[in-house]
Amino acid sequence: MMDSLIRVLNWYEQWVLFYLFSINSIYFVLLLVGFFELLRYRFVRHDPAEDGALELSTLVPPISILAPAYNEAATVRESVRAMLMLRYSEFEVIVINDGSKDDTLKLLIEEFHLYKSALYYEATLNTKPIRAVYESMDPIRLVVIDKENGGKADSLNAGINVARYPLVCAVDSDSVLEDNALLLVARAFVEDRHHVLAVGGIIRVANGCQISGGRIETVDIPSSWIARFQVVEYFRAFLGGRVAFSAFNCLLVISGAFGLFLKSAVVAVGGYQTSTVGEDMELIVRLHRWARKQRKEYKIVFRPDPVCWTEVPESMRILKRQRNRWQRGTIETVWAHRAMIGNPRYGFLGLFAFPYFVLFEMLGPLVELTGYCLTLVGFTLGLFQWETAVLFFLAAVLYGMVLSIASVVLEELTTRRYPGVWNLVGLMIAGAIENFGFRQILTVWRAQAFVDVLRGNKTWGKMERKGFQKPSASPQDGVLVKHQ
Amino acid sequence: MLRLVYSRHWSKIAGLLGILAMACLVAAVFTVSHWFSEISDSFVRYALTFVAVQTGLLLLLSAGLIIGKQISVRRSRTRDVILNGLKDLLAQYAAGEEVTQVLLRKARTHPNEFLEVVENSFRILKGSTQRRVEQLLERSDAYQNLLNQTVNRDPNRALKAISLLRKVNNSDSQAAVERALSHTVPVVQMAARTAVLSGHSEQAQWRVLEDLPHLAFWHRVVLFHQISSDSPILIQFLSQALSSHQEEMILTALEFVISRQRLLPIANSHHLAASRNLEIRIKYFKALPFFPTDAEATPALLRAGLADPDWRVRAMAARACGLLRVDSLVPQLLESMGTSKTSVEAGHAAHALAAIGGEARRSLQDMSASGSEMIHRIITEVIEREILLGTETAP
Repeated sequence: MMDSLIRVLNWYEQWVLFYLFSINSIYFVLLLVGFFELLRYRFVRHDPAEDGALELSTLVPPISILAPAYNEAATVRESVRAMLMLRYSEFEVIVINDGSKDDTLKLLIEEFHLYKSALYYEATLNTKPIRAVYESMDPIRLVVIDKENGGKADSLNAGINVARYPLVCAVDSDSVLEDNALLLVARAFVEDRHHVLAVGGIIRVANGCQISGGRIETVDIPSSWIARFQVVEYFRAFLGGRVAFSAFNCLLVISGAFGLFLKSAVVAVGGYQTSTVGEDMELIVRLHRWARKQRKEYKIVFRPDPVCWTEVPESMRILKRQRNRWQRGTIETVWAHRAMIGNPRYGFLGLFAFPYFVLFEMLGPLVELTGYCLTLVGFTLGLFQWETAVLFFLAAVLYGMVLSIASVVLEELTTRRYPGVWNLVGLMIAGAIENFGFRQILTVWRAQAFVDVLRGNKTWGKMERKGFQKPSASPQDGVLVKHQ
Repeated sequence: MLRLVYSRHWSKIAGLLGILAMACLVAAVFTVSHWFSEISDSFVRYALTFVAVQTGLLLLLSAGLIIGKQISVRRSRTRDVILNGLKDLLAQYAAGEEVTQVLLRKARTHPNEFLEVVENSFRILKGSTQRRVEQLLERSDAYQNLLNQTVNRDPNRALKAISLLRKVNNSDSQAAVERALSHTVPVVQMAARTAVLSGHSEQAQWRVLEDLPHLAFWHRVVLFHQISSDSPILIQFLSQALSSHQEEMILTALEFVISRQRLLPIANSHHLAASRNLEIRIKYFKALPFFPTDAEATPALLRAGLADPDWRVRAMAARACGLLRVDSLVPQLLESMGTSKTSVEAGHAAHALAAIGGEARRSLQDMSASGSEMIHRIITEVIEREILLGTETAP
């Protein structure tokens, strides 16, 4: 009996180790592919005349920016002003007030001289009732939709209904887009206007940066270690994973904080799914399915140069909610589209990208957690040689550290946003120590998401934000409550 | 290597290189495993090897990152000092030959920085001051080198040279840029086309214009942006293109007219309204307000447009009616509104009626009461927009 137990434990332990090395090896390959792909952005020179054409030509497709807002009174005016100042030939900003309980709508009405408009729109996508649509009396293209609370996906669907332009750009109203972000993200559409369905930009961590008037003034690393760990995580995910997946046209996620979509395609697939908390990933997967079903030649692209700065949680409590929600979103999406797993009809997407997501992104926390538990059981029962176990643990941790530091190298080789040597040293240290404790805590939280899914938990969770750091402190920078 | 990065196959090459690099790592693990050959348990041996390789890699990456950053920060500081020095000297350039000689000496020792300062100055300077800096550039050793760089196999060097030479107004520079039209890398060709269209000889411009229909839409957008609307060669090209029978040529010309958003002195090619190509018809009616109008022919054309079987053509024709204030077509516009199944078409017709004003506007208001819910809401929006903002914003 004991022998069988030992055999099973040993077998499972080896399998977990194999799994860890596989996932890290795949990450490593993705980082390497990402590195070579990013060389293009580093070395290929662009003619400034091209940006001028995008900014002024009437031939480039206009964009509707959709910014859902829920209780964002603290930052909404500044965010909207920053959006209106973006560089692009023709665009409108649509703020969707999702039944805020604070003064979000009132502040917008006063600040931008809004009037209740008779703007015509077709309710192509089902949403919670719209109470009113406002437009500005000033010569700016700002539309504010006031609707009953229905969540982020519902707000975005309402925005799509009201949007007048062929491209829709979903942004978080508390994120900051760099002034050329629209130009760069739309370029992908203009360069290949018949095939591109969606384009995602890079999300960078704004904690530690100084922001004034909706513009990044200085870039610095955050003082909080939790935020620093996330800076490295974002590098790994965006500069490695997404660049590489995009190169093979099997990108499965475009961040909800910044993505540009072909409106007709989004409407054709039925808009954002309101029954999931991972609406951004779900939409992309549905676009892939739809395009493949239509036998359409298409592209879903990630671009590393259009930048959106966002504030990440600095408290473990908030981070737990966020990661739990992300994991629930992944599980729900994978379950909803399980027919794609290993399905050759979806090509590389069905045979590699989707199985990768299932095996490593969705099931990863479970495998890792059971591995940790069995190691503890093995030690308690005296079944493992501790020297061997330590050696394997060290190998796995070192691999993780190499990946983290390689992603910092990738950032430095390509975009170089962090100005000083000490910024990089701070990020490297964060990349090294995140493997001791932080990564394991995330694993536990993500594993808990399975229980929440089984319980039918669909809540978004409160996201408290500190507000962006300004060069001089403002009394208005209070606590900001995000979507519920 | 750089030519490969510019290749359109780079994504595939990047994938292969990534896998190749991973294979190198695996090979390194196998090679290093020989160092631990005395360990009998192969599982432990490879784990130890792996730890050794990873540690080495980690140290290499960390050291490379820190040292590389340190070097780049220092280089950047040194470069800034040189650039500032050159900028100061350039500001005193008119002071006399002595300063010129110092500048030329500096240009010999720091050619890249010198060219950067000159290029930046061209963005600010105009007229005789710019000409003086051009003369300085022409006297420098870097200039001769620059003339040869436009056909350099390294695309970045070629692009850098084109970017600077396009701002220099002399025959040598123009000839050097025109040579780049035959460069093997498409990005360089494109930069040369952009430079040529922004003010070269008519012959060279014509050569670029003739190529326009064969270029990607994005390239056309960029090139359209470079041409002056008053250029006689442009007018000649557009007239020829519109009267040709090549659909790509016609579409390109129509796109150009739309991109200008202003009246152009080109003969109106009426036959395009009846083209069998739907895209041509749509674009023709979109561009129609920017052609010289004819009191008799234009309403007839628009009437045909409003009766087109495709709603997108009808919508563009309705839009043109509003922009040209064609009051003789009010009944057709009202009919278009009443029968339209799409809000876009009805919206354009409503905006057109509001823009025509007078009787058309009154008919529009009357229709608001009798039309469908969609028509009622569209008309309400149009009238509200007109009253509140005094603008006509097409839907």
